[in-house]
Parts: sequence; C-alpha cells; structure tokens
Amino acid sequence: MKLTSKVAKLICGARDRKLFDKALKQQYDGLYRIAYAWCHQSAIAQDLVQETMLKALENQEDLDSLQHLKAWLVKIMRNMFLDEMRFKNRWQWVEETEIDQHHCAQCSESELLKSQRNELLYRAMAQLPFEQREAITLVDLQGFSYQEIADITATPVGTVMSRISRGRQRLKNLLEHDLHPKVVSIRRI
Amino acid sequence: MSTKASIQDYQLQAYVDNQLGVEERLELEQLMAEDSEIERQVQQLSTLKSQLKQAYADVSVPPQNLHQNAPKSFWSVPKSAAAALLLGVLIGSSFSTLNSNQAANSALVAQAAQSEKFIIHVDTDDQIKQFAAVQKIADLYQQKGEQIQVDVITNSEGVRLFDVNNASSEELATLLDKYPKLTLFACQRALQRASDKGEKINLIPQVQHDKPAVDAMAERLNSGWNYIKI
Repeated sequence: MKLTSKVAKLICGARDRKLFDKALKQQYDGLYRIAYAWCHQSAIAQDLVQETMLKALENQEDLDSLQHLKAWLVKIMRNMFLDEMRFKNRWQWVEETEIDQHHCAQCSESELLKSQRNELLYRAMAQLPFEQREAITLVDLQGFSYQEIADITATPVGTVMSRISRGRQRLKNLLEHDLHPKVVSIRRI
Repeated sequence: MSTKASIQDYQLQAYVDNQLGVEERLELEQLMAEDSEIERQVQQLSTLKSQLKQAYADVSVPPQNLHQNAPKSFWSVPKSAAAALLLGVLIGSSFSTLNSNQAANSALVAQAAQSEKFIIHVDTDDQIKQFAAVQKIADLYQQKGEQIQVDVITNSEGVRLFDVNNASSEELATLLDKYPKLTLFACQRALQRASDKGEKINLIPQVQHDKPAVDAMAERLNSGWNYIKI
C-alpha cells in the first residue's frame, strides 16, 4: 500500500476515534455512578472508571457498534473490578463505619432529609452481596434489560432475576428493620 | 394465565423493571386492580426502585480530569492510548487535514488553538514542492510562534529534501537553528531502497531515520497532530 493510502486510512481511523472519544466521554457519569454503587468509595470509583476508559480506548476495535458501547464498557469495568478484588488483591472488602459522602452542606430541612435517606440507601446497598448489588445497580441505575445484564455478567437470565429479587428483599429488610451501623466497603491495600 | 394464588415475586419484579411482554403486563395489571395486596407490593417495589435511582443520581460526579489522581496503571498503558484519552476524552480531540495548496491559513489559526503540532509530509523530489515545504515551515512558525512543534516527515523520493546538497538545505539548516522544536524525519525504508540502488544521500546531521515513515506518521496522527501534505 502506498504511503498516501496508508495516511488516508489513518485519517479515517482518526475520525472514527474522534466519534468514539465523544461517545466515551458521554458515558463517564453513568459509569462513575455504577462504580460508586459497587464500591461506595469515590477515589476507587474514579480509578475504576479511568482505567475502564483507557482499556476501552486500547481495545476499541473490539466494539462492533457504538450502540453497544454502554454494555461493553460496563462489562470491561466489571471484569476489571472483579480482577482487582479477586486476583490482584489491590483492593479488599473491609468493614467501615463510614462510606464516602457526596453531599456538601445542606441548606434546607428537606435537603437534609433527602441526604439522610440517600445515606441509608447507600449503606443498605453496601451490605448486599456483590452479585445482588451489581444486578440491582444495572437494572435500576442504568435501565439495562435482564437479558443485557445476563450478557454482561455471563449468567443465565433466571439467575439475574433471582439476584434482583433477593437483593431487593434484603434491601427492604435492611431499610425497615435491620440496618447495621457498619457497612461492608472496600479499601486499597 | 396468572392467578392471584400463582403470581410469583419475579413477575412483580419484572413488571416494575418493564421486562414483561404486553400480554403478561395486562394480566398483572388486571390482578392488581382486583387485589390491593398485589398492588401494594408492586407499589413498594416501584418506590424502592425510584428511590435508588434518585439516590445515585444525586451522587456528584468528579470531573473527568485524569491528570489529577491518576492511578498508577494509567501510565502503564500504551502512550497512544493515554495520549488519545488525554487529547480526545479530556479536552476534545482535534484532528485536521490541511492542504498547503489551499488558502488554509485561517483554518490553521483556528485549529492551532486546540493543537500546536504539525506534520508536514513530503514524498516527492519535485523542487517546487520541496521549496513549498520549507516555506510552509517558515510560515507556520511565523504565524504560530516558536513554541509549536513541526515535524517534517519525508518518504519515497521526498527523502532527498534532507540531502546536504539539496537546494533547500541551507534554508533548512537556518530554520533548524532558529526553531528548536522543528524536527526532520526521513523514512528508514526509503533510505534503504535508495542505498540498495546505489544512490547516495548525505543527510543533514539532525535528520532522524530510525523507523519507517508510516510508523512515524501513525504515532503522530494517533496523538492528534495536524497533517499537512505538500
């Protein structure tokens, strides 16, 4: 291939990359919220999202269509999260009395109540087994279908439904009766 | 058809998650209308779902600034990916293709605000085009200032632009002295082919020639450089 043809190909590639970069940027907030719901530590959530985006850039040829970008990114992030937890031992589950707060000073009673309610929900979510928390996060925060969650997590749809059902039941119990002051969270080691 | 007795928890979950088919959905809505307990359960699930969604929507998302608090592994990825991320995701990637034969100066000024790196590509030994390339270097530095990076990449017959005996060599030497961020690059393969044919090319000492031009070009294009073909 002549160099001019190769350059033309590179230019087309660069345009595709520009589209990809733009689409990737649009997914940042959603990914961060999922990551935060998984680990409830803002610094770790940030790391996870950053590394997910870098990995996505490295492997963007593997994505068949931008329509599937969100599910593809979540799958990358999930694998990375589990790798870090299970194999690399970079993070570990620990019991914490605090989880990262995302709320600054509140200026009204209603906002304070909202903040407290959110805090209870975060704490309850943090006590769920990861598989249940993951399934609930994906269906409630991002609106993935059961089938999409099954594809992302490589589990049967029935298992996904069971995780969602059991997770919500446990959440309900925690919020109504049984919320322990300590939460299970993760820390770098 | 489902009945009040046979209704399963997973069906209620699937209803609030909008995962039921039309028929199942209508059946369940009929049961809800007949049984307030089923309606209450669905309402509870729906409330929990919306509360969770709202609680995490309230999480403030830190800005996409990978320069700060970057994880260690950020730096272990290939430079092209890191560069693409930094240029593309964080500040919006800029890529332009300009033809020196066009009146592109105004576009160039606009592009330069986003990217201050330029490739000038020469693949011919046509003297007029080679003069134009040298003139383009001078023009860019005059318009943009000394801080911009300009890499002149030559291949094929274009490598002769960097021969010390070329008509433009003195001017190139002057530009190299004047602008520290000017780099000259000759294609390794083109030099090898010339050598194989017994053609002697005495390169200006500052010329880099350690890789094929296409590789040098790809590195820069992947990092958002502006491309100018002479």
